[in-house]
Amino acid sequence: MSRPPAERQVSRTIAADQRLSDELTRIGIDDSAASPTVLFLASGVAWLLIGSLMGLIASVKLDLPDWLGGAGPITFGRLRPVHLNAVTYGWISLAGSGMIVWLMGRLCRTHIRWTALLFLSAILWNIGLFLGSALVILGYSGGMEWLEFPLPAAAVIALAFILFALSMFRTFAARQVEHVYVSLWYILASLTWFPLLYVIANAGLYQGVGEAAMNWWYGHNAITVWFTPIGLAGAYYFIPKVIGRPIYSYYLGLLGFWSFALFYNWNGLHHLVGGPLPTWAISVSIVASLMMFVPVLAVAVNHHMTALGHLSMIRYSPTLRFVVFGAMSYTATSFQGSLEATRSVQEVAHFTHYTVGHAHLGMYAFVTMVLFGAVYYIMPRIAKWEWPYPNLIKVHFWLSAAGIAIYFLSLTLGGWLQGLAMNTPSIPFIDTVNLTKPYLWGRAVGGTLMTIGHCVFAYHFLLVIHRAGPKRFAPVWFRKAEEVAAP
Amino acid sequence: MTQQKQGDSPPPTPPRGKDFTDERGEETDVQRIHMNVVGREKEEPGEGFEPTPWWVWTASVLLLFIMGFYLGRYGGSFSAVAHEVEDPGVAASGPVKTEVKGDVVFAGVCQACHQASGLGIPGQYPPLVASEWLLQDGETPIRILLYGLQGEIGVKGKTFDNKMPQFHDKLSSDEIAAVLTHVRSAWGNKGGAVTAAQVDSVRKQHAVRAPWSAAELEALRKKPP
Repeated sequence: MSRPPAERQVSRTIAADQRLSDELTRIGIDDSAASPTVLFLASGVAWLLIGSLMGLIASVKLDLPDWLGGAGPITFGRLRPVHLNAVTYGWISLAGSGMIVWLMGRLCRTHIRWTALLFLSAILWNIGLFLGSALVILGYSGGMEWLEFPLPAAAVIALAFILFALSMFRTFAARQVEHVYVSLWYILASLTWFPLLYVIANAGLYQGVGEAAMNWWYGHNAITVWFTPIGLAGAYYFIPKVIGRPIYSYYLGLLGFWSFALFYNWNGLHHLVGGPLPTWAISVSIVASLMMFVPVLAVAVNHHMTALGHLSMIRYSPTLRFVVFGAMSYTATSFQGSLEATRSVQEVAHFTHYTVGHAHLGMYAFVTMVLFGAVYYIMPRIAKWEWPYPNLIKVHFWLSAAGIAIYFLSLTLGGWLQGLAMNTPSIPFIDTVNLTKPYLWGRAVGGTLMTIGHCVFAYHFLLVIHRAGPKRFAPVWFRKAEEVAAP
Repeated sequence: MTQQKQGDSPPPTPPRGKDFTDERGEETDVQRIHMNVVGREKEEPGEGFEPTPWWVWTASVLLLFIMGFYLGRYGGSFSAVAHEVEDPGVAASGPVKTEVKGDVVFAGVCQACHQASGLGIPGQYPPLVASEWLLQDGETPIRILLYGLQGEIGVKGKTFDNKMPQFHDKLSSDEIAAVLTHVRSAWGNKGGAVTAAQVDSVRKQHAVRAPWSAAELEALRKKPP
């Protein structure tokens, strides 16, 4: 019993109209987010270039210690902190904020409120970063890892973050959806947690051993409450979005989020194993680190089951290729981190290049790769211009993927051998340093590949902002539709 | 499953320019927008409601148990002063005796007056180098360290009149033994080692008392109690 053709025609038209109206709403929302998002993303990309350059110079200095060693401002001890701050508080934080602004509009189905605060926030944030980097270069470092920026710079950044959070909360309060999607849980949590954390850590409340404990409470929690939620919010949105299926399980999402909130913030003190802190405090943080298997497993299973049967799409979706790489790296880096927290692994790995490899697996292979995927998805929609050269995206992906792989494998292997050598009293210390030389060259090679990839990415990004290059009428896929359709 | 697989293909490239027409062969703006937006992305993601796999719960609970055990075993009894985990081998053999270093005690306690050279300061603090009070026997210096010394005393032919403080409540028997062994063998001194047991026996001989005088010490040396 099929309906008469006329009736079918009408119902099809109604459905099409409904879809069209949805699309127009979506375009309106994207437009409201466009300017602040572009401002945040573009600043992020600029800081990515600065940070990569600093990191690369610092890395080469480990191979050629006398190179650029003549003046204080360009010594390793000043360039490396600028690298760290530029890529974390610059690139990841700003690009992540851009992604959050856009996601907030999409997931709340409403236009962005209080955008003036967002512009102010982005400008202040950049001022804070410039001020902080300049002070560190001039020798006024705070001296604690992740907290090198002196108080004036940190205060500006804290203010910028609070303005950003206010606009986001206002937009959330005006949401047009009943159900709050899982990406938003992570975003809202980080918007509450991070300002609190950043202000307490920079307030200078602790001295002595307490300050060391506070330092790593902050250092690890910056990852917990800001960088990881950015990566997870992106992965939770873009994987189902590109594939076109709902995320596998709401319940796994709940388990993942709440165990994440419960366990992750205790992790910091595992950085101080062997330090003058009470045993129980260190043991508690090791327990919490190992309990991180629970949220990571939940997220990994959730993403894997969502993508199951559709993973072949990474062959032609640029966004999915980057985001899936990031999501898999999240699982890898988290499992590695949990094991690395234990006393028996730290006996070897602590104070070696192994730790540096692990840090880059998390901050680059996970968070940064997800952010690249997000930028490739967001930019055409807000700039109204497709990526002009799909091949540049491919080049960027392979440079970044190969770069981080070489970087990680070199430092992991080199760091482990270094640790074993340092644990052998009969080996003179200088031999344990010489042993790492080839691996440090591997690090410089990996870093060079990544930096070239970032230049390609930045160039492509500029083209889209300026609407330059060949005009395309359809979204970028790596293969032509005919090719994919053929068996 | 085939249906799903089809969903994986990228949407067909929308036709361009003049080719972009509706069913009647006319180009329409509405349909242009439609193709552009409908073609470009799928609907906003939602959440499915599949149950959490049983093995995820099992693994989580198992891990919680193991970690509870770990914390009990390696938690240092939640003491604020316990640093790092005790070595089980050492713990089984009883309380650990830490080695007290006499030179460290000397540097912290004695050096301010008797000087690093052990020569003291003429007219104020008597020397320890070749001092008859220090070297003649082991018990006299223990008495001095425990309960102090006040009044005139002749050391190596010179007279001093100052006050040596009491250490019976400030230093342990181990520390007194270590520092005396140190000063009786440093700077060319050739006194024998002093043990903690000797210090304990002197502690038993005398109740806590006021500082000695030189005459009292001399009498005790000649005729021990």
